[in-house]
Amino acid sequence: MGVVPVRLDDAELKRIDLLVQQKHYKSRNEAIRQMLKSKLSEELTEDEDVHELVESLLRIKKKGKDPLVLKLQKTAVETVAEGRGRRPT
Amino acid sequence: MDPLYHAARSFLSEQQPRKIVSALSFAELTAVLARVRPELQLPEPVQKEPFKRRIRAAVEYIFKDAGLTLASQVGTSIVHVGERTVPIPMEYSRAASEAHKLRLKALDLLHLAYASLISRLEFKLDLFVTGDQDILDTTSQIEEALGLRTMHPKNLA
Repeated sequence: MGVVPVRLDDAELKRIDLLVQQKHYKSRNEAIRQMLKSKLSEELTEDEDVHELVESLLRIKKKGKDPLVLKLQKTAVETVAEGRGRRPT
Repeated sequence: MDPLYHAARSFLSEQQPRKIVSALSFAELTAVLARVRPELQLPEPVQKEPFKRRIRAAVEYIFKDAGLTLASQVGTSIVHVGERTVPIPMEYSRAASEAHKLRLKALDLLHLAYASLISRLEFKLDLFVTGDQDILDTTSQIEEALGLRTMHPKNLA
């Protein structure tokens, strides 16, 4: 295990101390370790790169045509409400 | 044609006011488009793409075309539940703390809690726009509990 000296300002330290006082963490050390651990576990998204596809849709729109057409059997509000399992307006 | 088509077009085509979309609404929009797969028509080059890319492109196109702004996550709250003290998404703890006042379903509560936090922490929101009747029926309680004004899209003009 390595040791990294970190400078924190008074306001940050006060907030950490408050969390320790409220028994959310046993110590400053544990609080900072847990916070770091949580941040480091954030995953990089596996987002799709669709830039070119979107550009082609926007070019069609510029020519005055709607590139995205939804021929819903229900209204938009009903379709969303259905996904929430209840009544639409 | 959808009864809200013109109201939505008019609202979305205006540059002002700025339209902020939560990550929850981003996920919900993606889910809706994925559910209505046979009803979603895209032009030839995009239509040939795998379904996942088609849906992502459609969502991205909607954001760009309508000038929508995606809000970022609002942070975490530390909660002590059972034997554990853990950080959870802040909108979850806010939703839980306001549940007794609003008595809405979980997804509605989450949308509202998220919006109230976005308004406090990232973008000041003037209005929460929704076509959802359960939310619209609770307008005064929402304004009192979360400081958010709610409105149906047809009443925007």
